[in-house]
Amino acid sequence: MGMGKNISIELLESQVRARARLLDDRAPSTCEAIWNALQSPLEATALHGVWTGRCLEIDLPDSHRTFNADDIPLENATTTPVIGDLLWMYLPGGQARSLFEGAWNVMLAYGPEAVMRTPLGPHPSNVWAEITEADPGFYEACAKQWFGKAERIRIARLG
Amino acid sequence: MTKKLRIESLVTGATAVVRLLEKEAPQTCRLIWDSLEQPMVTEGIHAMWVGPELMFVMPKENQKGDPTKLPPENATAFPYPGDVLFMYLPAHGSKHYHDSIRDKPIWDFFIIYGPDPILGGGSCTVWGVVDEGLAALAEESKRIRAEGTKPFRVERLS
Repeated sequence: MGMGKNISIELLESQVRARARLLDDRAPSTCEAIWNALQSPLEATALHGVWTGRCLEIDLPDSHRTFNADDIPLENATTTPVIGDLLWMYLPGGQARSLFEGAWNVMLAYGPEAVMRTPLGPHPSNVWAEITEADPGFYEACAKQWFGKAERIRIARLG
Repeated sequence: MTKKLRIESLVTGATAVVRLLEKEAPQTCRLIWDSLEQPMVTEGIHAMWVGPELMFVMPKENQKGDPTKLPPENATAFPYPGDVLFMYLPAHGSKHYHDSIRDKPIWDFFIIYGPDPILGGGSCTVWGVVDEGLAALAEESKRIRAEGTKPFRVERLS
């Protein structure tokens, strides 16, 4: 194991995995919050983005909403992620007509032309991890989610 | 007589009715109507940039006319729920589309099923409006997002 914190990301039906490195130095608050939330592995459905282009949207289940999202500042944020970026996209409930319930999303940018935005406009989102290794076929499996069935995804700490 | 189309999910049987806006978009309406001389069977695809959009890529056998000759008619970049729009792109005209369709000319027949669409690419012609069944189309679209594309039939109603 290398230095720093790493996580695994697995698409459970396609059975492909990737490894991502947390960007503690650039996004310390986000990394701490998400690392703590991953005390137990996260399993959720990875829906395809609908306003955001080539990314998967992982809505954190209640079990993993273990931090105060309002306390996370903008850090290492972007609206134009690159392939392999993991982002934190948060929108409080009640603010947006078409996302009235709000958003507690980990976004996985898997291709070009991903854009962080909500119906309210550009939405700078913290890049808190980047994929450093991916199985052959990992990004293709992500892309398949557009026309295909939304898969279950598992995100877990690595030693 | 007002021209109408019927849209039917071949999975659930849910239907919707689209009224053509012949007065506002006469040339686009003619192209769509001519193209549907035979019913169109195609997959309903959920948008990934526009938001609440259900998209039909018109198959080759339902491409009648020359979309490169169409002027903007009744066009907008801010479509409203229930608006039905058309966009044409030549083969390889956009990096956006799915690998399986990008290498062919794209006749994109799309329906705005809810509020807050973002037409990032500019304006498109609104040639129809959903008169009945918009809520059913919104339900179908949610299912498509979770389960993948589903087949629909689109045919002339009157």
